[in-house]
Amino acid sequence: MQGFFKVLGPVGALVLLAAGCGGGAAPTATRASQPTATRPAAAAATATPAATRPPTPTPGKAKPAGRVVTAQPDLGREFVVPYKAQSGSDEPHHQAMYDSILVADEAGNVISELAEGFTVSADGLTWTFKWRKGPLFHDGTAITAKDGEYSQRLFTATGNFSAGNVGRSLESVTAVDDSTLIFKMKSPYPLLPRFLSQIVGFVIPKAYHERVGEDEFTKNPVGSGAFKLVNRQPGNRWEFEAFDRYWKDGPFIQSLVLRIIPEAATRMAALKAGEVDLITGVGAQTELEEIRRDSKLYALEVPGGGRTNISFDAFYWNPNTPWRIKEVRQAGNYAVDKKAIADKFWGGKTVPHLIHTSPYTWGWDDRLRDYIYPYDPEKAKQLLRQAGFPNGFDTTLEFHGHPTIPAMEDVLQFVAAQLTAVGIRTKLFPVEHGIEVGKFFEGTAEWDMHMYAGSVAEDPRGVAQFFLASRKHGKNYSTYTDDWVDERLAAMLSEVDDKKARALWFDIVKRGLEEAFYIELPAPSSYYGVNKRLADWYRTKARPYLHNYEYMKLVAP
Amino acid sequence: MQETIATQLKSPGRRRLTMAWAGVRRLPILPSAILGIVVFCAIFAPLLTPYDTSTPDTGALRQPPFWLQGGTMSHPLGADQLGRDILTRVVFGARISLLVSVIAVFVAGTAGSTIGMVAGYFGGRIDTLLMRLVDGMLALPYMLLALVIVAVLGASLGNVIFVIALVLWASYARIIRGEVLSLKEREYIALARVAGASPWRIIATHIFPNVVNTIIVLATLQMGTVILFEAALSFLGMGVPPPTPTWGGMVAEGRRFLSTAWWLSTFPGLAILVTVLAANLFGDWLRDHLDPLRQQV
Amino acid sequence: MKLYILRRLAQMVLTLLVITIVVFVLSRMTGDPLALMMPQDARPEDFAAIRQKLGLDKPVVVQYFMYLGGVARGDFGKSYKFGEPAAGLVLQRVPNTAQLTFSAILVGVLLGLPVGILSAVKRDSLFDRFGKAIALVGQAAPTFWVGIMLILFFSVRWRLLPTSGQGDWHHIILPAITLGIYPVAGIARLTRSAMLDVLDREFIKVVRIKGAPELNVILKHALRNAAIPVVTFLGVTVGALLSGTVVTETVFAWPGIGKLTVDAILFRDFPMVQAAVFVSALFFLLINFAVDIVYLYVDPRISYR
Repeated sequence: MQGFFKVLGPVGALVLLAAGCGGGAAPTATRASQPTATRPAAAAATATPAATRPPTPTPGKAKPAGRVVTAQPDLGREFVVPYKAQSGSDEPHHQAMYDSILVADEAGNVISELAEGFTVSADGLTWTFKWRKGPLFHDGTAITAKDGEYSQRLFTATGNFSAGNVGRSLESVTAVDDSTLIFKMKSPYPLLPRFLSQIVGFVIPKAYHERVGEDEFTKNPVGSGAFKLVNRQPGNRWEFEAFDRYWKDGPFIQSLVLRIIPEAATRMAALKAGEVDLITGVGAQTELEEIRRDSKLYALEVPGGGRTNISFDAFYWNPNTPWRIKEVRQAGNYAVDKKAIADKFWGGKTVPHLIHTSPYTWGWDDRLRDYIYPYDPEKAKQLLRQAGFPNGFDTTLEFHGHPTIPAMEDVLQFVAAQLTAVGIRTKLFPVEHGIEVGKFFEGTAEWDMHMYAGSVAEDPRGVAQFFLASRKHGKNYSTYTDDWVDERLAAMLSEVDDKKARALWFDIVKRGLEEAFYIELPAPSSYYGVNKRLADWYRTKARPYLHNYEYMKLVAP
Repeated sequence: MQETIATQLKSPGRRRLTMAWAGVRRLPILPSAILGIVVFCAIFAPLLTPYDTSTPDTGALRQPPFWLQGGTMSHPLGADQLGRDILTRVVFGARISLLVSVIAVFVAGTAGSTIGMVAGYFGGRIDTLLMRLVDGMLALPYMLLALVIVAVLGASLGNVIFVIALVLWASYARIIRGEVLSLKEREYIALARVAGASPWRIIATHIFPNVVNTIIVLATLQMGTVILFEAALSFLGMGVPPPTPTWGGMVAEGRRFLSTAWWLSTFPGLAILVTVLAANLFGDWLRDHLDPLRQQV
Repeated sequence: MKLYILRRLAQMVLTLLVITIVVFVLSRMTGDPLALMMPQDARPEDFAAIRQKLGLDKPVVVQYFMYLGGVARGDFGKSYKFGEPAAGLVLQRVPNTAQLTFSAILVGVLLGLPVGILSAVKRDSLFDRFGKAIALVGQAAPTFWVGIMLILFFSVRWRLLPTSGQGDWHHIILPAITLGIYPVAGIARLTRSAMLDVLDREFIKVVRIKGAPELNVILKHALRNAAIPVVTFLGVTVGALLSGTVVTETVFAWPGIGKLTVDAILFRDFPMVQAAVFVSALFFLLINFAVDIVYLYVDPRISYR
């Protein structure tokens, strides 16, 4: 079930999922200079502004050289203005040309970018961001907090989108002067920094955008990032040149080309032929093997980018479904050989992903591992008998093509066969993706289960209410729901104290596993296929879309 | 009385039809043999193989064909990405692919030829209207139709057949209309009209027998088109959904393994190649033997 | 004659109008574009706001006439996916699709014509029999399989040609072959029969008696006269290829209209679907129209009514 994470973009969410065992093959290359930023204080109490990297480039900054071509299956919505885009597949082209208020570091923590740091008031309602001095827009004007305010207003005015989440609790955003941006919230919103490190944080020049308007801006954009857009063919390619007055040490490459190559076989061929330096959407184990066999290539892992599970749609539309019985859902979990999926389809490198939480997300707790269902078909059959289905039952599993991670189609067929083997006779139920999303949201599905296949949410709090909250409060994407969870969810989402929030979330996840909200499947890592002329660089875990182009460096330009 | 005169005038169409039957006895050997094997597989598929088409076997993932290292005779043509026997799926695929093409061609041929004959014979407004419809159909991207049908009715074998038939009928209509236009100026049809035969009767007894050869030839040639069309739909994710084995679907599913496990998509691809080739050669042969122009040359 | 052309043109406009209605209705049958467009956390008021902004809150009939009014001014609306006028994006890609289609035709002719001529000249020889079968192979293999195989051999193994994308003339060779082998059999077959027809005629015998070299007879005198049906066939084929380019475009990442249309359909990008279908339908109709006019001149037996 690709792309239900609207935050991640409906098509692009797919790209993330990839598999295999990784890292080892990567050459030990010089790692691009890592930002020295200290991590801004967590949301809890007041924090002092964190001092970060120098605002001006290091003297003797190297002249950018060489050209890097990347190929991806899709670039999502290809707007030029960032405020209409959504996180996920829409991100790469925006990252190249815009900087954001905050950003994520290699470990996935939120760190400073255009804002040097921030403080939050004790009640969790007022957030003050201290603006960095020095960064310039591509037209040479300084980037100030006023531009930050303007961009934020555009995000909320557009009804966008990824900002909707923030916008719901946002009361006002004001730049009191050129170096101070203040967010006032209606209710405590601990996720604000996280959101400002994603697409919602991108900053565009107020003066220029106001003067020329959106249409002209689209034709001749002025960005804030490491690269200037020089040529754009929507649906085909975006070409960038290095911005020579960029405030960080980079960029190290002179020109950057993002190409769209929809067909996986062609992408791989282009990489092997040396036409492109990096491909995303590397999925199946066979692809990783192919990359490793080629002495000119290596596979680069983005740990924990993916997520798959199977949810019980019948729960919300069919009061008589066997899936309403706890033992039946547990039987489903026991019936699936997760290790086989990890080893045979994802190449072994996977992490558990339990109720939207993995070792790479907020809220993980190692105690959760005790609640993972082992593969035990006998136990599954026994539970089915216990639930009153000694002869099993018939059910359906929604199916649609996964053009950007075709291995998902194999996993789906495999799971269906495994459920069938214990007596849960599972028939694939084909639905076109767009139709499926609509029906799921409206609650008018006609299938009993679907598989979600997308990217992990860095902070499950950002998505929990749309996947777990009861549908009686409004349409959403939840399947299993109950009042117990509803209550705790509400409490957790407005909890300012991180520890307390984590404790509440732990209870929810634990219940989710005991009650078997989903059939949880192993979450594979994401991979890039990379040409060895491109050295390993600074990447962000669980964010395969965050390419950090400004850190890319060629071994020999 | 008048009617008997009309029917006594033996139309050349009838004569040609009998000749056609005589010709069937001298079929081309190779194409007929290939098509025969395909039909045999389609009918007796379950008896020919010990495996079923959908049960995965993680012990045999992408197992090579028997003559390669790692292959065994248990999966003579190897196994696919889920460890399913490829030979089994190719044999069962014959059944589905044949089913799709026979039904789609029959439906499209019947509807298209009828519309073509009506348009051609009646002419005037009916002709203009129907032919604009045909133009519109041909100008419409088939993907739009495919997606709407998949979206509204759901993806299934039946709907894939429906999509293909919907796309194919227009070309029948156009070709048959062209033939009818020249046919209806012939004397015996004018005579039949003078004799008072109703238009429908003329179409049934004089027009149809004269275009049936064209329809048969077209149908044979279209069989191949349909199999390839189904493959293209599978490629775009609009084909017959898994785990049902269709040749096109198998080639599409296996294409991402072409450089690592070529046998996944190559064997069903060969099945398509050989079958479509045979159907086309057969169609060509039919055309040479049924085409009135050809006989005059 | 003039009247006929005018009438055909009027009918074409009518057909286009019907197509706009059909596309408008069909695309709206594929579901709500907002399902794919909106973030998961959108509130009902967000849905309402976007719906209003895109004009999707109005009755379908009103939407249609607004759209038609736009079309009259050449305005197809802004693409939901790219945020730019859809018509411009489509027109940007027209040359690419045209380039691909005509290169494919060229491949078809370059391969099909010699086979057809030789088959006719060496009638009933081994070449005549097997040439046909070989020409048919192009019509019997799935396009995407052929395309990927060509890439694997010519681009990856032998490094002779680029895998994908657009650039200099090297880039179009593989896609043109992939798309162009389909009509080879048709061209070869037609050429053969037309050549056989011509070679039997009196004037060829006269030329031969005069002692013209055989190659000259075949290429200069016979082929010129055999070309007419082949050319008309090409006209029809162009139309067929135009609508069949999507698979080739996808495999070779060729930025043509086909892939654009399919993506627009899958994304429920209504303005883009409408613009793309309108433009490709217009081309299709124009080509058919041109073919009909050519017919008129070539074959006087057809009455223009």
